[in-house]
Amino acid sequence: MTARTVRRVLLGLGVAVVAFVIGLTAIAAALLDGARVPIVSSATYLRIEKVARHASANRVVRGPQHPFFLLLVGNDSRPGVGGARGDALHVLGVNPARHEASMIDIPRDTCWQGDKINVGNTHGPRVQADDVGGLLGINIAYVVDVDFAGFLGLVDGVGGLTVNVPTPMHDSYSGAYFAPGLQHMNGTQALAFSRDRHDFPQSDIIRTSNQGLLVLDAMRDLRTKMQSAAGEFKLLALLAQHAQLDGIGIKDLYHLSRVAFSLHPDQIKNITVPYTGGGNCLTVGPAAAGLFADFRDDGVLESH
Amino acid sequence: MSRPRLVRSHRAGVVLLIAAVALTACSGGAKHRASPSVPSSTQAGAAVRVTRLLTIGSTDVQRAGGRGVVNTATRHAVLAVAQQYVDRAVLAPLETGAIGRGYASLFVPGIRPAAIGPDVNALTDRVIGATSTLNEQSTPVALSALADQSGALLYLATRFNVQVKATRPSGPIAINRSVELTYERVGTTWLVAAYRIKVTRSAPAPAPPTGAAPAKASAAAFRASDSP
Repeated sequence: MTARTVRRVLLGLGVAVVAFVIGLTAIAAALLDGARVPIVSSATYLRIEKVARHASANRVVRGPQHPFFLLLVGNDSRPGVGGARGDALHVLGVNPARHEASMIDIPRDTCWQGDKINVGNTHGPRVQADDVGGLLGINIAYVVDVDFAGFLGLVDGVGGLTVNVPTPMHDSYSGAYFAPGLQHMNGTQALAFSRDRHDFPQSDIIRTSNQGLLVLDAMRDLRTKMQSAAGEFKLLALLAQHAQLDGIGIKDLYHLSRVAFSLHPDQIKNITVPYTGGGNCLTVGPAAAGLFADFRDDGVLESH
Repeated sequence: MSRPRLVRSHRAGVVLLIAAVALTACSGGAKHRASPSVPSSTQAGAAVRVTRLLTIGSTDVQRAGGRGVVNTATRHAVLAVAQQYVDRAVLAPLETGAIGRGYASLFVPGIRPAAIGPDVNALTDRVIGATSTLNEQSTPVALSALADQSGALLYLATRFNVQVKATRPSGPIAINRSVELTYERVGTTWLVAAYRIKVTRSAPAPAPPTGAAPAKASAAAFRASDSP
C-alpha cells in the first residue's frame, strides 16, 4: 500500500467520522429543542400528564377512588404544522365507586373566551385542561396528549384498531375512504377517519362525534387485549416506552388502566356538546348547561 | 422443589402413576406438601390424597426500558406465594373444611377485605367443605413480569389452572380453577395485589336414575387493589 493510498483511506475515515459526529449533534440538538424524532423504538408517541392541583388527584398513588376527569387531546402538530392545537378534545368522566363512566366530546371550533378552545393546547396540556375544565365546570386530573406521529405509532403499536364506521366516507382531504361497518384500521387509516369533516354538512361536530366513536372502539380493542396480566404488562411497557410521563408513574398508569378497563365501553355514554348556529366559532347551546351539570357532579351522565 | 414428572412415555406414566397412587395411599397423603392433612377415609387401592407442587413454566418480561430480568430468587419467592395460595385457599378447605391459616396475609391490604369477603367463594373452596378423597393437579405456572425503565420489577403475575377431583359425603365433585395472581413488592415480600379467578364446580346429580345432568356452578372474581 502506497503512502498516497494510506492518505486517501485516512482522509475518507476522517470525513466519515466528522459526518457521523455532525449527524449525532444535529439529532441531539433537535431532541433538546423538543423535536419528536421517531428514530428508534423509544420515540415519544404521546404525553401523559397529571394536571389537577386539587388534593383529590393525589389519590392516584393507590388508584383513584373518587370520580375523576381525564382529557384526551389529539393535537395537529406534524411536519410543517406547529403549534399543537387541540383538534380532538374528549373528556372522560370516571366514577370508580359506581363502576361507570361517560364521555363528552368537544368540537375544536368551540368558542371559549373569544377564541377557539383548541388554541389552549398551544400553551401546553395544563392550559388546555384549564380551558376545557372551565367550559364544563370541572377539575381535570389527567391529560393524554398525542400528535399525528404519536397517534400513528400508538395505533400501529397495538396492532391497529377495529372501528365501527357509521356512514360512508369519501374524503380526499383526509384520505378517509370507508364503507359503513366494522373496519380494521392501521394508524394512517384511523387518523384519516378521525380527521374527516368534509363529508358532513355539520363538519366539525360530526367529526368530533366520530372521534368519540373511535376512542370507545379503541377502548373495546384494548380491553380485549388487557384480559390478562401479560396483556396489561405489554401495553404498559409500550406506553412507558413511548409516552412522556409528567407527574405520573408506571404504577399509577397500572392502577388507572385497571380502573379504566374494568369499565365496559358499551356502557359509556358518549355525547357531543350541543351547539346553536354554525361557523368557525361554535356557540354552546342552552342545553349544554344541564349536560355539564349532570356530568360534573359524579362524572356520569344520568339524565342525558 | 420440583414437581414430579409423571409422564415421559405412556407406559412409564402409567407405572409412575400407579406408584404415586400407591405411595400416597400408604403414606397417608404426606407425599410432598407441607399443608396438614389427614385422610378421613381410605379405600383399598384408591388414592386418598394426591397433590402436586407448582412448577414454573414459561417466563415473560415486559420492559419499559432495555433492562429487567426475573432472577431465580424472585422466581422462587413468587412461586412460593402461589403455592401458599393453593395450599391455603384450595386444599386446606377441602381437607379440613376451613381456609388455611395465613390466607388473608397473602394479599395487599387494599384487596384483603374483598379476598376474605365477597370474593371468597371464587378464591377458595370453603363452600365445598371437607372431602374424604382428593386428587389435585395443576398446570405449569406461566410467569409474567413488568420492569420499569431502570430494570426494577414493578409487578409479577402467575397464571395457572388447578383441577381437583374430590369426594364429599354427598358424592364426587370436580373443581376447575383458572388462577391469575398479580404481585406487588411490599417490603421484602411479594403480595397479591390483583387477581382474576374463575372456578367451575361440577358434581353428578344426586339421583342417578333420573338421568339428570350434572350439577354445575361457577364463580369468578376480578379484583385489583384499586377496584371498587
